[in-house]
Order: sequence, then structure tokens, then C-alpha cells
Amino acid sequence: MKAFTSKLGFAIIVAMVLAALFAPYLAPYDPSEYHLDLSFAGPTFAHWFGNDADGRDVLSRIIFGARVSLGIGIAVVGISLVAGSAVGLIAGYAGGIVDRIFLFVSDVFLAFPSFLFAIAVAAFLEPSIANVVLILSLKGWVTYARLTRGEALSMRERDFVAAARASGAGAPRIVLKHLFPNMIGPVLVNASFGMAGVIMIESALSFLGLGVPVDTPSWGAMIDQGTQYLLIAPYLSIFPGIAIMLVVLGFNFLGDGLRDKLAPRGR
Amino acid sequence: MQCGQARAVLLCIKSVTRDSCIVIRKTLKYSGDFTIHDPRSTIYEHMNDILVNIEDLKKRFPIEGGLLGREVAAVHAVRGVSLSIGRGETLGLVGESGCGKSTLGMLLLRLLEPDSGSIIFDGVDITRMSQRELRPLRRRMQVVFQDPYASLNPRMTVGEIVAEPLLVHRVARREERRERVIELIRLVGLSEDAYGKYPHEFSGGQRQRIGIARAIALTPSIIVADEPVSALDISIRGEILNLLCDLRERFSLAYLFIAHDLKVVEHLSHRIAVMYLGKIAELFPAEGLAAARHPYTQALASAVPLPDPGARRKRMVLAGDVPSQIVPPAGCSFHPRCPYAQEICKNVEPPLEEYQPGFKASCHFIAEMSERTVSHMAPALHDAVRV
Repeated sequence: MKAFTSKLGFAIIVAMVLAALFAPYLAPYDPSEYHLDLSFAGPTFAHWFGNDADGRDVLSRIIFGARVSLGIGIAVVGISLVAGSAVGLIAGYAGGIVDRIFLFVSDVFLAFPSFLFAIAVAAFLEPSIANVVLILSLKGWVTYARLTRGEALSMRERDFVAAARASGAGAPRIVLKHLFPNMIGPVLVNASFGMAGVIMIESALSFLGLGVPVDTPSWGAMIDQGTQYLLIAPYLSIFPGIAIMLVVLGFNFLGDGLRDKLAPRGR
Repeated sequence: MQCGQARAVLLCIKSVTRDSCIVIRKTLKYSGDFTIHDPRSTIYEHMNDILVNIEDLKKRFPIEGGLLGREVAAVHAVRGVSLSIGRGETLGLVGESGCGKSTLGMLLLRLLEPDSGSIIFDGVDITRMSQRELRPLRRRMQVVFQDPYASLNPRMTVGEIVAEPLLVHRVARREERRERVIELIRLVGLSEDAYGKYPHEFSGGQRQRIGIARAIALTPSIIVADEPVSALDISIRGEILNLLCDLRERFSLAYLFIAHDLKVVEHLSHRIAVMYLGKIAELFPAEGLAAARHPYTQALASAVPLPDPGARRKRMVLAGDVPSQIVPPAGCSFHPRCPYAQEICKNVEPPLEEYQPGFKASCHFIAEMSERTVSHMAPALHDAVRV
């Protein structure tokens, strides 16, 4: 069962990534093309997911929306992972006062409720994809930093690290060659759950109108626009909702699978 | 395994280890211009060529408690140890687990920071050197750990592991380095194709060989071998001990050979130091084990299993546990478990003093302890003290 769900998760992610990459070829219509005559036309064979208030094809917008959601997810997780791991590894390996300062700073960051923090910052900044990435990364690095710091703290006492020190290896070499490669497992697991979380928050921000610019096809923004017509055209919100659910589910399944595979013993 | 088989294996290991050590004894015998009965110990006193000298070394590990993380107590791991290791000498360091022997080894390598005392390595005081200053000296001191599963990075190939010291010290270029690593891998008895494999593809004994290859990569002057065979199967131990013996001969290595098993240490070492609760209890030439008098050494020696199950002897079994290292006992640290303890032992700490040439012990009554006296001599001792 576990093997099946993780494969399913992997398949969903691969499908989503392909959809995002080949969006212009896959999407049956231009996602921004207005067909006012098709306004609120329900799902048909020509337009599988129907058309929105302005007559834009919902399926095409969802396919292009994958670019935004996955793009933001990858960017945020990438930035958080690199920055967070760097900080966490340094704090964990150095220990002492460096570690204490890090703990204090990360506690401060963790103390803010994630979502409120994002809304507060978003309110000050122009809605743009770059700003959404910035806002989410500002918070996202802490998780990776705490994780790698904990791993580094326990791993620096291991014999192979002592042997490297006895060989005269300096801190950069120990951190990069000995510590980090041995914590890639948990970091990757975290990254896949993190992707799901980021996509959710991005959707929520866009839903509140604080995320990506209005015209950009984003799943969160599509749900938001659909709510105005929930009674006459519920599919406007339902289909992007299903897309979010699928991708989040996919990353969670993948994360579960990775954890089982990587946890027992490295290689 | 049947009893008989076990005995055979033990005997076999014993003889194998002896054989290869004999070669070294012979080499040593003709290296000096004096004739001696057994050169394992005496030769170093005559040579007076000290590689490592440790003076009154201390290390405590603070225990923090309370809200402020203040130090509430400390584990006194090493409580003032002085000893020296000669060039090419193997010093066996024996003691119960938790007596501070591994800590001492790590202090010598400066993998732990000593609190006080001094470490002189080949005439250079390294006690307070920064890690950067220490780096060139690291070429000359290496380490082999007990657990071959923890001491190799699971994400590096054997080639990378053995090459690391060479890489760090910028010894040899890429091609040359590869050749050197393969040579080392062969030298420790592994096949060349180990180069690209990962540690998990090897058994415990093979992994220990990889660890040894890494340790000798820079041809050091001393290797701290921290219980290198304790985690291995009995059948593998002999092989690894032989390998260490061969390498010692080949590279004129000195070892600080840490173990909790006197028998393992006896066959490899020139001198043996017995540690108890962070201090040296006794120091003696390896061939003089039978003549060592400290009650703790005697207890350790009597715990060694004899290969002949028919043999009878008195065993000295220590009562009680190792005392607290947080609050070590006053006076002689061994007094709570010593069958001969007197009033003075509870209050006055005995110094480490020579009681016969080559033998040092810290015991108030070392003069009264004759060879292999165990429990039956206790009353006699009482009388002696009363008079």
C-alpha cells in the first residue's frame, strides 16, 4: 500500500511538472483569450472544465496555473533549503554561542504565525510572483535550518567526523563532505512536504488577492474569482481546487515514500 | 560455537599474534648495542627517545542544569595523568569502560580540549595550539576507532575515505594519489576493487582495515588505536592485531593501544598502563604482567580467561561498581573496592611511584603486595599494618 501511494504521488508530480513545462502545447486554448459569448458556459466536449465569467477556458488556465504554483513552490523550497541548510549546518557544527544566537533568531521567526506573517508582509508589497517567493522564503528557511542544525549537532560527535578532524580536515570540508551528504534524506523528505505547504499558502494568498497579479492564472486566484459565482458556476472553483488537492496529495505521498525509503539506513 | 572450538580459536589467535610479534622483537633486539633479556620494555627506557609526553593531564565534562544552564557538576574523566610514549613504542592502556582511557586518547590527538596539564608531541607543546596550527602535526598522529560501522562515512567510497588525509594535506596529485590509495588498500589486505565501493559493502573486519588504511595514509608517527578489535568477532581479532603488528614494523609506528582486555594488550604492547577512574593505577612492562602488584591490575589479570579449562586458580572478583566520576572517592580512588584498603587509603591519595625498575604503581601498600597474592593474604596484611 505504502509503495503504491508513493508511486502514485510520484506519478502525480511528474504529470504536473510535464503539464507545467509543456503548457503551451497541452492547453487547448489561450488561457487569457476572452470569449464573452462563452461566459459561464459549463463543461462541454470543447471546453472540458467549462469557461469562466470572461469566457476564458478553465482547463487551459489550470494547466498554465501549474507553472505558477509549481514554479513558486520550487523557488521557495529551493531558496529555503539552500539558505536554511547553510545556516543550520554552521550553527550545528560550530555550536556554542553561534548556535545560541541561531536558536534565538529562529525562535523569533517561528513565533510569528506563518500565515499572518505572509499577509502582513504581502500587504506592504506589490503583488508579484517574486514578492510571493520572497515572503514565503522569509519564513521557510527556518524549518530547514532547525532540521539540519539538529542533524549536524548529533552527527558531529560521530566517529567518522572525528576521523576527518584527526586527518586535519577543516570545517568547510567536514560540513560539505561529511555532514550534509548524510542528512540529504531527511532534508528531501522535508522539502517534499514543504512543497505541498508552499503551494497551499500561495493559493491562499492569491485567494485573498495578496498573491500573484490578477491576470496571472494561479489556482488560488481562480478559486477566489470563482467564489463570486459559486451558486451559478461552482465548477469555476471546484476544478482548481481539485488541482491543488492533487498536487498537495502528490507531494505528501512522495514525502511519505521518501521517508520510508531513506530513513532506515542511508544507502 | 562449541567450547572446544572456542578454545582452539583463542589458542590460535594467541600463537599467530605471538609469531608476528616475535619478528619485531628480533628486529628490536639487534637495533641496540646492549643485550637485554626481553627488549619489549627495557629498550625504551634506555633509548630515552620520547615521542609523546603527557604531564598531569586533566579533563572534565561539565553537567549543566537549571534554567540558566549553569554548571552544577562535572564528570571527571581524566584526573591528572602523566605518561610518555617512546618512538616506535606500543603503550597498552587498559581499564574498565568509563575509566577515561578513550578520553585520554582523544586528548592526546587534541580532538578534545584538555582542561589543564600539558601534551608534548615530539618536543612541541601542543596543549594550547589552535586547530590551524595543529594541522601540519596532524599528519603525524592518527586514530583508529572501535566501531568500524561508525567510523567510516557511509556516503563516501573507500577510495575517497582513504584519500581524504592525502587530499587535506595536499600530498600527491590526483593520479599519484589514486595509486597511493590503491597501494594502501592492498597493504591492509583488501583487494583493489574496494576502491570504488561503499563501506556498507564490507564486513566489520574489512571496515576496520579501511579505517587502518586511512590512519596510515600519511605514515604517522603515532596511532591512537581506541579499542580497535573490541567490536570484532573473535575470529577476526587476531587478523587485525597481526595487521597492526606488521604495520608497526613497517612504518616504525608508535601506538597508544586502548583496550579493556589485558590479554589483547599484553601481546602487542611494550608497556602497559592500567587506568582506574581517570588515573593511572599501575604502569609496567608488558612481559611483567605476572609481576604487577597493584590490586586492581591483579583483579584485571585474574579476569582473563585461561585457554585450559582444567586449570585452577584463585580469582579475584571485585565487589561493587565503579564509583561515581562526578564525585570521585577521596584518597585512593580504588579504596572502596580494594580488598586490602586501610584507613590511610580513604584519606590520602597515593602517588604514582616506581616500586621496582620499570614498574610504577599508585598504592600505599605496594611494598606489601607480593606477586599474585590474592584474598588469602589479606589477614597477613592486616597484621603488617598493625605492627
